[in-house]
Amino acid sequence: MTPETITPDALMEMLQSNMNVLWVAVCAALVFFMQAGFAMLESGMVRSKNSINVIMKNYTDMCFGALIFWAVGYGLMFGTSANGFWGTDLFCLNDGSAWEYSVLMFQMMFAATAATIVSGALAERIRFSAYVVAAMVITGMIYPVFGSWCWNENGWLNQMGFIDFAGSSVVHSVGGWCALAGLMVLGPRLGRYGENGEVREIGGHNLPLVAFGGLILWFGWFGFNAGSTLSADETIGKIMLNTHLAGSAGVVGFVIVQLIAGGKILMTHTVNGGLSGLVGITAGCATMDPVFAVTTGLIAGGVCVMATNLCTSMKWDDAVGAVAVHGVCGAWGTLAAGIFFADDIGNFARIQTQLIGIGACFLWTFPAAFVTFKSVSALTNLRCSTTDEQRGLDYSEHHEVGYPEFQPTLHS
Amino acid sequence: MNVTTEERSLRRRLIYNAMPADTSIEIVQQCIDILENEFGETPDIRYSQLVKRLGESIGSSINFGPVLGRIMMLRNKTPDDIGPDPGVAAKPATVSLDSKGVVFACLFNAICHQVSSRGATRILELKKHFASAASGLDLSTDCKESLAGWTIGDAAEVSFSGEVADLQRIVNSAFVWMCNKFGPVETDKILHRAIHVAEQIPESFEFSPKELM
Repeated sequence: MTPETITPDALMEMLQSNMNVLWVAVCAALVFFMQAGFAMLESGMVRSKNSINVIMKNYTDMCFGALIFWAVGYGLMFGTSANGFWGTDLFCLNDGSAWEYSVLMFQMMFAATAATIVSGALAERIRFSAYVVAAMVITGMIYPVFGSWCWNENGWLNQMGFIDFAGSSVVHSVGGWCALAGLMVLGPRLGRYGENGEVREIGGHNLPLVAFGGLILWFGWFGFNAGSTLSADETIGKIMLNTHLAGSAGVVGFVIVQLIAGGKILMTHTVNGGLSGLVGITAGCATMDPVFAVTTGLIAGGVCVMATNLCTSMKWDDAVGAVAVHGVCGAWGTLAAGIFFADDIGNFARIQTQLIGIGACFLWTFPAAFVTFKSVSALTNLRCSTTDEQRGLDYSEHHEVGYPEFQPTLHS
Repeated sequence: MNVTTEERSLRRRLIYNAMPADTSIEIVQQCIDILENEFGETPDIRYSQLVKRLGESIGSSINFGPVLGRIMMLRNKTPDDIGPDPGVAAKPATVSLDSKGVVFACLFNAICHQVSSRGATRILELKKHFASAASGLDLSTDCKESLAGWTIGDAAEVSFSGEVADLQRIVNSAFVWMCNKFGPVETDKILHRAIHVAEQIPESFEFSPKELM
């Protein structure tokens, strides 16, 4: 077309198309920035002698995951899916359209998010190389297979009408259940649980870092949810509003439940309360009215408290609360998307579909991740030695420490 | 005919390594004392007689029948294959230590002092831990014997040295035990304080206590 022959409609279409690409690209960058949030939050939540190791896990699972997702995962997730369970083309995408590249970039950031959720839960005792292998399996297979069921045009859950707009289940529950599987294979940190079953707290070394990390995650979530429109359209405003309302309600819900239960209002748990609200709204941010976004977030904050206590009582040593925040609240958010669907509240058939999807997520993800961690454990040492746990994984794995002047047991 | 030093060592090894793994340190020491005091000068020892005497002294808390059986089995092995010689625990250390040994002693004793401060029986529990864990630590024979001697002795403090790798394993084994008893945060604090104490002695300029971590 030449400028003289281009019609107004074609011009509008071209503008919209370019704006869509721009919008998705900006949101991909926002979701990428969530990696910094995860790194800060998780690093701050562990002891100083493991601070660098946590960041290395975040850094590398994003990078290794990016390559494996480009090579394999994207095709499994979005390729032609005749059977409704996995895709069969678009591997190593190298001849895609401008739009396909944008979507690939955006989805790659989602895959990295799912993997990095696991890193925090398993902190302070998993060997670095073993973790990287597991992360590649998560981003290359576990995450994209379930993602294809929900987001591939022909995915069987998608065909049923399953709602998970931005990934409460696809990203967050997948990450949470992978983390749970890893926890069960790895075991708790040394001394976390006493001989008489008492729980010993292992505090983080830098709580302001945890708070800043939480805020960065919140910031990135605007791109995470609003970018899932894959379109620069008028729905973006409502999606961002719902996201913020739910995150805020998550904090409020957590505080209310803690006050009722007589517990302390810890800053670290407050941050997790906000994250649980954000995770909870991720599925229904585009299909709920704001009042139900608030409801979803409030309940997510309370669910987070109970799920955290459950994990503690089960002696699942989750260093950052990933199972509660992402696994359990992701499931709640997916259910809430069915319950609070705009103009059709409480539709039982839709709720049933959501429950099927929640169940399918767990039944696929948890066993696949469990087998992955068990296999890695059989091939190499999954868990670090007690000497490494004593010295800290910063020194043991990376020969580099985060705070050399403040670690008195450091090798000279 | 006098009983040679080697024979005395062999007898102590047989008794020490034939005892059940969960035997208390006090009972083991009592058995060694009876062996040394009542049978120490006997040229041809009859282990059945010794075991009978041990049973009379210790009482029914230990079933000495299987102990005698193990002694009979172990007798055919070489001394090193039998296991470590705990030594005569009451004997004070007369070996002078190098810088590494002095630093290790200072570090480990600082750990032990802090363990003791957390309960009257804690140091005994730590010794009992090492009595059962030492065989799995892959220590050199000398170090294993020195450690065994400390576990059954009355002294709260150590006074032996060894290769750096052996001493690191001992420190790490203490770390694991302390994590289970006191928790990981408290254990890190204990190690930090012990390092700080060990860094105050002049020998730490020649050998850093951090090398043992």
